[in-house]
Amino acid sequence: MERVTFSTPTLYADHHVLKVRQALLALDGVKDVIASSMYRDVTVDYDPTKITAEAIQQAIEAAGYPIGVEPDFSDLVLAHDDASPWYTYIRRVTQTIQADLEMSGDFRKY
Amino acid sequence: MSRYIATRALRGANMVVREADQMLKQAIAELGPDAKVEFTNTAYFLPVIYGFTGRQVTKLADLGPVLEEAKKLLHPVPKDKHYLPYLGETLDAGVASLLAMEAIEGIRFARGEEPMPFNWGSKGLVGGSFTSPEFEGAGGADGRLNGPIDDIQLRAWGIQLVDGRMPGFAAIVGCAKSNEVAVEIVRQLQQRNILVFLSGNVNGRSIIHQLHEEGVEMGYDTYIVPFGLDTMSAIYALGFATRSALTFGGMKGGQAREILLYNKYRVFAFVLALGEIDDLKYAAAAGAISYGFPTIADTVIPQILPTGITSYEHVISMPFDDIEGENDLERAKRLVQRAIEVRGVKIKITEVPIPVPYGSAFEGERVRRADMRIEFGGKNSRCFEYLRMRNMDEIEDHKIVVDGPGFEDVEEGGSMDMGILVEVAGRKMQEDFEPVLERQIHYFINGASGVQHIGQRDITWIRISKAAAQKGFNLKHLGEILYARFHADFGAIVDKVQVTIITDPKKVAEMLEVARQAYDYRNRRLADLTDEAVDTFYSCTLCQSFAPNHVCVVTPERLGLCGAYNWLDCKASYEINPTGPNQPIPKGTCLDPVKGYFTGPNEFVKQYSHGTVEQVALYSIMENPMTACGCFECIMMVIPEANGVMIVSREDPSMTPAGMTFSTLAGMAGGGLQTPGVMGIGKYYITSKKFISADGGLKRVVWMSSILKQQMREELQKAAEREGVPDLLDKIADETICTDVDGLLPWLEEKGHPALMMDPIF
Repeated sequence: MERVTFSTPTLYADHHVLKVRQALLALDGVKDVIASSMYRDVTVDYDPTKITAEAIQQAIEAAGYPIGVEPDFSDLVLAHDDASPWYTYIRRVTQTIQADLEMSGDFRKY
Repeated sequence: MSRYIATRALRGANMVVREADQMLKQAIAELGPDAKVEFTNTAYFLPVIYGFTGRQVTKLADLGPVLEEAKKLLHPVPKDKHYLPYLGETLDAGVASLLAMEAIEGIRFARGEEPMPFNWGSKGLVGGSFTSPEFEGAGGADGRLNGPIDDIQLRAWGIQLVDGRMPGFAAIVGCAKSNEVAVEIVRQLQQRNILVFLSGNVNGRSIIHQLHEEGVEMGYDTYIVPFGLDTMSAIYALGFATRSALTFGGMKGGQAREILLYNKYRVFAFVLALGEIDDLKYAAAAGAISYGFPTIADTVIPQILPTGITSYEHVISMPFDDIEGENDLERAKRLVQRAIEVRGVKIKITEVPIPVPYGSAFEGERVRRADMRIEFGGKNSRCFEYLRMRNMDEIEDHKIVVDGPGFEDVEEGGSMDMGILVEVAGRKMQEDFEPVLERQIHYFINGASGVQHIGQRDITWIRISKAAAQKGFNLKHLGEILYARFHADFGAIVDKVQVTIITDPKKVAEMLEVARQAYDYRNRRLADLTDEAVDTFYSCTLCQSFAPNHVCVVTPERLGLCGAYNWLDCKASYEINPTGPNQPIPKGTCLDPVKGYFTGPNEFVKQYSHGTVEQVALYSIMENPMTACGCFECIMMVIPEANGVMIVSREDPSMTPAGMTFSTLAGMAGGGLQTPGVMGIGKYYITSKKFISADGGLKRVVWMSSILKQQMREELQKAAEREGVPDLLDKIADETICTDVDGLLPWLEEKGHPALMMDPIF
């Protein structure tokens, strides 16, 4: 029995854990899978006479989790619209906003 | 703000929005843009999206603009150096995550992948009402989890959520340390009527699996709803919260701020994260924080303690194995207790669980000696009650201990020593509230049929009737009463109540000493406060139910005439209940410092006595004296022949030099009437510097019930020395010396009482 760990930076949530486990546990020779969305890695106990580490890696990648590849957010973080409320609201406010005033004391209102 | 949490939440948000984007493109390509998107049997479309954006998602194509909005809320992941994490960005990312998570669930529904399949073995969910009727009651390998809660169930639970019978919900995400811990956590929540929503997994294993293996029935009927095996399905919990605001709060889609605030103040929910926490869980927790829902984790994570968005802490880490406790079950119990504290969930007790009837109708009930099974206090035994404040972690809620033997072995009509120690903890609790709460024990215990409570502090006297004992009433039930009533009546300041009924005589004596030190401290802490040093007095109109025109003005140097509330107690009572009977009275301008006329009290008394009393002199019995209800500890009356006043105690049944007994005098002194020359007072007022100071003070006292002399000898002696007549107490007559004026005058002359040499009192 051998153990191998793969870094899967895009495995960031537990629905991926279910997916990876399902994919790997279906393979002949894979005995156990510890998929951690917190550490973003997958550890596999396998029988080297039946399956290779390379085959396991391919299965993980086929499931949608490239080994060692950090996610790229560049396209998303640039998605701001400069006219969006986020940008209009971050100007320093020097006058009381009536809506804020009306909502003060919310604990009484609700 | 934790940089670690900000990093993980922002990264999780970026990831899940991107994943939702990719899933949507793929789904549109496969199913077409008009493919139907809906959570079956629920209103409000995809509720979180509808609540935040006002967008009504009915088909896949509607999700595109939603994800565009989500992207606008995303921010870059913090850099390793020179980055100042900002809570606002993390909260934005949280909301973006929620929008994306709900979009993903919508896509899954469009694909028929939700509710998630689950192998229920031989049985399915309890309660039947699946979101999708076709899956109703489905067991075996083809079963499904619940998915979102349907509208019928939301409305059924809604009334309980709004009226407080159901305090809130716990969204449990992940997997507990063991099956037994999972069961204990859920049982603890069920006991408190808290809804339990389950989702998430750790390495493929969910708390849903754990409960299922242990045979715990899940479904609407048991208040345990298994949403799904991944964190994505936790969005149904926030959807439920949003729908509550839309359904019961009258909110409209797009009123994000109002919906979030409604949830913060009305829906007491929290997230319990069991096991490892990944980026999506951090991101979802950030979204939950926007609703005012804190997260409590059973693993080591950074904490966010400052309060602000949520009522108290935002993120709490309680590594399970480090929780104090004898075993895992004990630890599970404490984890739940902590979660409840952090969210500020108020447990509402609607019924006092004792074997005799309970209600205010029984408050005035007396237990005669012939009907008595046992008594505590009185002539033959000691009894005291003591309430003290503790830290949250020092006591356990609903722990009721009887320390010593019960009364089963005491002969009928017998007596035994007892001490009632009530320990309370609460975030809003203050030491000043202790006497106010302690005083409630009298009312609380008296509410039980067949139980009589008289007195307070170390002169408590409790009787239990034979009938009550026959019905099974025992000492533990005293604790049950106090636990239930303190939560019910003072839930705003009390979060935990622990009661110890001490009957072991040695321990009673030990705790009595501790209690007496506390009583003494409470008496003395007012000592340095003077009427001149404060700018506010307090009213007490508690007794207006039977003396509608009476207003007590309580000052630092003049306590309430019932003796139960001094100035500090009134202050505390006002803080506890700002609209209650103890209102602040600004002193205003001092019109006469000797007689004690102030503009503030005059205006207040005139208004609240409904015009009956024009003005009140706080330090005089002869001119506009304060009125009385009927609860006075003592009555003072002028004895013109002696140029002084007499004071008769409520405990003294004898005749007095005024020619009347206490009970006859009470008719003159009470009822909210201003009668110059007659006044009801609290006995500790006698030792005050302001005691009828306008009329000559303590030196005017010519006669006093002997019981007062005995009970307050030390304090009276000090007051006499302060007045410059150290032997005054020996010159004051009592009922053992004389009970009429004819006997009084020769005694005063013989002793050379100072009143005889003073200016005429008229």
